[in-house]
Amino acid sequence: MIRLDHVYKKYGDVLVLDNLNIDVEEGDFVSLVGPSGAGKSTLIKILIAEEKPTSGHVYVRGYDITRLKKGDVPFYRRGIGVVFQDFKLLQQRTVYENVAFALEVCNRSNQTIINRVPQILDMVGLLHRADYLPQMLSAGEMQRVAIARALVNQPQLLIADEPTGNLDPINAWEIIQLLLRINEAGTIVFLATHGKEIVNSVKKRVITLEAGKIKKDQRKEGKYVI
Amino acid sequence: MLTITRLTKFGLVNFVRNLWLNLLATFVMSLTLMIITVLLISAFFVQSEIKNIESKIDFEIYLNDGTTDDKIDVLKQAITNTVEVSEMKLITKEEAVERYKEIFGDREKLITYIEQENALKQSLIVKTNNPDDLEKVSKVVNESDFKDLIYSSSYSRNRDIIVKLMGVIDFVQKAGILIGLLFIFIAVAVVFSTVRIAIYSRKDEIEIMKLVGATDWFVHAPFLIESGLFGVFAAIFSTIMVSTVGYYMSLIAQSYLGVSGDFFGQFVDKYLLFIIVFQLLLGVTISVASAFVAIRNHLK
Repeated sequence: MIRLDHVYKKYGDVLVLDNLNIDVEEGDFVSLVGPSGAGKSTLIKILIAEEKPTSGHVYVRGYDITRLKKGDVPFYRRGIGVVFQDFKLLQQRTVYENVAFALEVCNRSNQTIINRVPQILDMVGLLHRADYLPQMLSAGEMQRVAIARALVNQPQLLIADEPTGNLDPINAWEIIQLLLRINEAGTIVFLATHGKEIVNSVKKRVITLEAGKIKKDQRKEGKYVI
Repeated sequence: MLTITRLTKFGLVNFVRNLWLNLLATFVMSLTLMIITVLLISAFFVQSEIKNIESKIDFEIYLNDGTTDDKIDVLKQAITNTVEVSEMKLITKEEAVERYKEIFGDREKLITYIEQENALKQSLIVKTNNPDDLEKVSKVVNESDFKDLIYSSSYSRNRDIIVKLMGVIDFVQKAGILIGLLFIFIAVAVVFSTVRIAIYSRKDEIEIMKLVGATDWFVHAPFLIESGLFGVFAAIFSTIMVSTVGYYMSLIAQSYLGVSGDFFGQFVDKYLLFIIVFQLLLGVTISVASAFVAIRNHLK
């Protein structure tokens, strides 16, 4: 499903990713850990086609995304779901409209939107907040809206970059449980995180990055090791 | 079609969200359209008057008494062979007296003297399609072949004044074009700045839209629609203002200046639709073109 093949990334003379080779299979839940500056965010940016590697190839669903043209990037992004630490919600739109937006950019019909958005909001437990603006929600609720938006197009891959970074432990735990449920339904989850307790409680695959290299790849019941 | 409907809705929502800034841009656009429309209408009336004035420039050839019809025909033929004539009319002595009475009808003694002394000459009035051709007519008339026929000849006395007047009108029209272009430039700059400010103030929103999978076109089309609305609202406002001012000026002209006929009403009946369409097209074109350049700069 995802394959990184001898991926290097340099910013000027600074080598940020150093010969990464990663394979992620269908149904995997992968936690990406490492100290600040390890290259986690850079790897996420490459996976969402915000950056290209200096060399190497990245295959997602069999397609080499390093060869994407600028005009193809939006279409690639519609096939993956992305969740960020700072939620990245449209502040002037309601919860419903934020989730619906992901369908509108894909030119889905109004009927599809009417059918699917309430379903997804119910799944994340926010149907009763559909008419709320983001500033009326708690941090945990905002993150759940972001997850709903990421899932509404039924992607096979969900990338989460520090989704619990701005949350208290209880909300963080709830978000992780939600991600686990999503993974159980068949979606690959790629989670970049600093949360030691989170990683240890999830007991899934853990890839540890350090200075741009893979220090450790624990395929089963991985632990947070730095 | 669905996407266009959605993008139009986004554009409308965005217009309302930045209402004050957008109203300011709309106001500047309205001023531009008003000035250009007034200049166009003025140019239209001036051109009509120029044609009217030009048609009054003529060449009157006064003929000696006893000039026969066949000699007059030879003269006519010589003139026709030289220039393109729009009108050539022979005024008999009797017709000349009647013309004189129309102008000086209150001077009885003068009229009586003219009738008794048979003082007026028959004349040939020549008008050409191009007033400049009257110079050539003058040369023909002054040829030796016709010297014994001609008593005197003259251009219309006001020709020099008319030429000067047309020079002034030409200058004013050129100044009007410059002013119009200046206002178009101002409108372009204002719309460009407004769109740039809007894009900058929404850059976080734009980034989020792109991360969710929106194309550049999907993100920026609402800005084009928002700008198009400047042109539409400006055209509506400008049409109302120009029509209202024009109506009241027409009333003033009729009441205080003695101008006869409802020329405003006639003008509106004939040209109102053209003015509305013209303003709409111009306003929307300027707005959308400015926004397009602003968006392209942002994408770079």
